[in-house]
Amino acid sequence: MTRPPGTAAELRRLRRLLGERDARIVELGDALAEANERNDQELRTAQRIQVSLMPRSFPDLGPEWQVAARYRAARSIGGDAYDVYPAHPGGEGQLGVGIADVTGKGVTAALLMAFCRAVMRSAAWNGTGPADTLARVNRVLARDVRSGLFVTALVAELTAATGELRWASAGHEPPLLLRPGGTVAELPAGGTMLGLFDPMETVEHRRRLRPGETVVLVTDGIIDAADRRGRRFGERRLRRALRASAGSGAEATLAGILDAVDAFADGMPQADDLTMLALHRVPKSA
Amino acid sequence: MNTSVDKVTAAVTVTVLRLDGDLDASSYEQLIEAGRKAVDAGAHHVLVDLRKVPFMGSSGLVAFHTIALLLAGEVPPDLEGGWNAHHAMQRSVEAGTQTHLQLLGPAPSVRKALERTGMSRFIPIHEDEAAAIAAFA
Repeated sequence: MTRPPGTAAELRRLRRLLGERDARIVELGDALAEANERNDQELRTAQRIQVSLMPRSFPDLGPEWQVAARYRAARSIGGDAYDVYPAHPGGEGQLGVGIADVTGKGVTAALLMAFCRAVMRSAAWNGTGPADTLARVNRVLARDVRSGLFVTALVAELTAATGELRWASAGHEPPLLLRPGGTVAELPAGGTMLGLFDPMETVEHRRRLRPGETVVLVTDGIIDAADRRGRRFGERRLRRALRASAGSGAEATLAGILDAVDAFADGMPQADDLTMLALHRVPKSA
Repeated sequence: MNTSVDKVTAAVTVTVLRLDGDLDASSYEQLIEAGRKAVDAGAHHVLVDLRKVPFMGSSGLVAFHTIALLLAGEVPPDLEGGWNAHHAMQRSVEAGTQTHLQLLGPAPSVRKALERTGMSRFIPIHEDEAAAIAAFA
């Protein structure tokens, strides 16, 4: 077969162009990988900061009380937080706890939560109780914050000597009460999300925790955890995990829930943060 | 999640966004985009059909709120504008006049989330499509 004149030169030119294009593709690929790595690094730093804002050690209420909390970040940064603090600065015997979830994901949600957590702690220390705390935070969010996101939250105050728990909710998942015999009850909650209405609606509830009882607070990341088939962990599995942990104490109860979620998810990365908090009154005989 | 769009004309023309699948962090922006397109095309009344949505995460609330803002006519050019629009819409909710966005047939768990957070006070919920369409009049 004879080659048409000029084809060899044309082939050389095309090879050169392809070579240049290949080099450019490799260059752009490297730049993209570098940018992705930088983004991942910034995200990891943001996650570390977010985690560092949540306390790891809690005020000691004596041998009759156990407090535990867990936070596991979503595959991308989320907007959950918990807090545990002396209900009044310098005061003993009264514990404040809070759990909250921003209705959105990403850095905006994480930044709003960092802000919100600081406002909430300050409101708790200056307010008259959980409902007042939420109302104060709501005023700030509804009037001055323009993120377009909302926050669900639950704030509680425990008096160690009497076992009295006071709590109020802002559209958050209701607290669950685990009795020593293994029954699980949903405690009342109510209240609208923070930032949605000004003034907001919320009600303060009270209950005396008995020896052996555990109160568990969760964010919706637990209930909404998905498996590979798209099924959700749901309230039924949460209650089953709680029943299996009855009487085991605050740490073991939360570990039991997390184990159940992990077994269900079977390695599926979760889109939402997983956050929980437990208060347990140790039975006198234990 | 799949989204399809219908138009139903009764006393007013209602754009119906029919969703099929989970409404969560991975799909809520798709719903916002569908709402934005509807508003850009001149829609004043939007019904979101949730009958085939088995699950809704909290991101779904952000989507509903954003579409309600767009329908309120004060399209947020920036975050500040958006928040002013939110306050304007809150006043209309208090007056009982936020009817531009309505929801149809949420699953019990979705309804529970809407009621628990207070979003159901913001956005009317219906179980029957004909009644939902009639409610826009």
